[in-house]
Amino acid sequence: MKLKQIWIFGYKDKKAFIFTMDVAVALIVVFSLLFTASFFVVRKAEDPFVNLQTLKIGSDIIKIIDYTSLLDNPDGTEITNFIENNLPAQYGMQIIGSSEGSCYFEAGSDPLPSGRISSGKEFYSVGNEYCSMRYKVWLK
Amino acid sequence: MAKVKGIFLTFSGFFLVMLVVALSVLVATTLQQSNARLMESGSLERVYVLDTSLERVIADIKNQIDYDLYWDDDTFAFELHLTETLNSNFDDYGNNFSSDLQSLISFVELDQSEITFFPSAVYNNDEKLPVVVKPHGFKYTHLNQGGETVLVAYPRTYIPYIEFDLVLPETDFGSGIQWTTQNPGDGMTFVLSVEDSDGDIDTFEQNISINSTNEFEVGGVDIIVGRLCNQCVELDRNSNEVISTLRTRFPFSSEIPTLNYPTGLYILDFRELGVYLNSTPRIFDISVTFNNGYV
Repeated sequence: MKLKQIWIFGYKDKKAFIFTMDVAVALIVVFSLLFTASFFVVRKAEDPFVNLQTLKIGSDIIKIIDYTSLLDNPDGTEITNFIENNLPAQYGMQIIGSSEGSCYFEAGSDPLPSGRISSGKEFYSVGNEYCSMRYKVWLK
Repeated sequence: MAKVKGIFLTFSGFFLVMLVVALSVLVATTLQQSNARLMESGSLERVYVLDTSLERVIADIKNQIDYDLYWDDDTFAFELHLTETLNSNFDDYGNNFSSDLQSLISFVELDQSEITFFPSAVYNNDEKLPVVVKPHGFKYTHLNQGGETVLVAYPRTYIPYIEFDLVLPETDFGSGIQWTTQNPGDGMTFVLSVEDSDGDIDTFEQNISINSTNEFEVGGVDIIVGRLCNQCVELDRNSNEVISTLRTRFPFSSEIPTLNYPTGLYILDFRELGVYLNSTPRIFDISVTFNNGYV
């Protein structure tokens, strides 16, 4: 009934209806574009800087661990304590000595199941053994 | 009139939407480029961290040279001291270093295929353990002369002062020489101190130019300075065991001198990231201390 009423309106009423529809469609298009643009702006602006910063924090912690001789004879518990005492509270970190033998250790906490993780790799030596470690850093 | 208004309104709306679209595309493109640069920066940071960690491991491999680099307030220059015992023939020289480096190479090349070592940069049949001081280009190295290890220093850029301290345990040598150049732009101050078996230190003095021929023999040790050794200072211990300390000064500059192994000891080739690094590993095993107590 209502639909029929629309078509029996006069020319003036049709014009108003088309104008309204035109504005509505235009507004939908504009707001869609604005929403999409702002979505990408927010998404792209937040990630890389944080990832770079977390990576740098991770490499800084590894350097300090190395300079404090904790890697001379790596002990997972000692290094975990060091990380807990020195890593800023809003970050989490895990280090795994990838080689076997005296090189191997695991320190820090397990990474979160979701969320972004920055990771890096470094070489070190234990006595006459050469080793590499991989570390992961994330925002809690 | 109403039609004109309508057309004007439609076009205005159209251009407004196009403007928003254009700005959105611009912002998205800029952010994409910015994101790509930041991703590159992250990749470079990862490679840098890997490279510096490898430098630290290489610097920890003991060679037989003791380094000391410090700022001297009195001379207003960086002083570098390099001390070692020259007591072996060329084949034996630096064997511990080359053996440890070979173990490291085996591990690293297997662990990270993008890294390739060229150990001939630091030991080959003609030369072993060259050390380069940057940015001055000063080079301290060990050459093979008929199976004997000969210590050679190339000042390269203008170095105003080089001194050799020699300890000759089995030689009693009793006089002194000191060389002082008359034309500082043409040569350098060269001082030679020799400690004999009684612990007495004798100093020799003579004017010298790096551009002329100067050849001396001290307690069985041949010392050549200048033209004969191609603008270098050469010390040939002959059959004696010699503890030598080379001292030199680098005038003040904004850049702190660093000790490095030569460029090309290893390369990092991360093609996927577009990163190719021909490394000049810095030897970290040096102490930089200042007379006023600052380190």
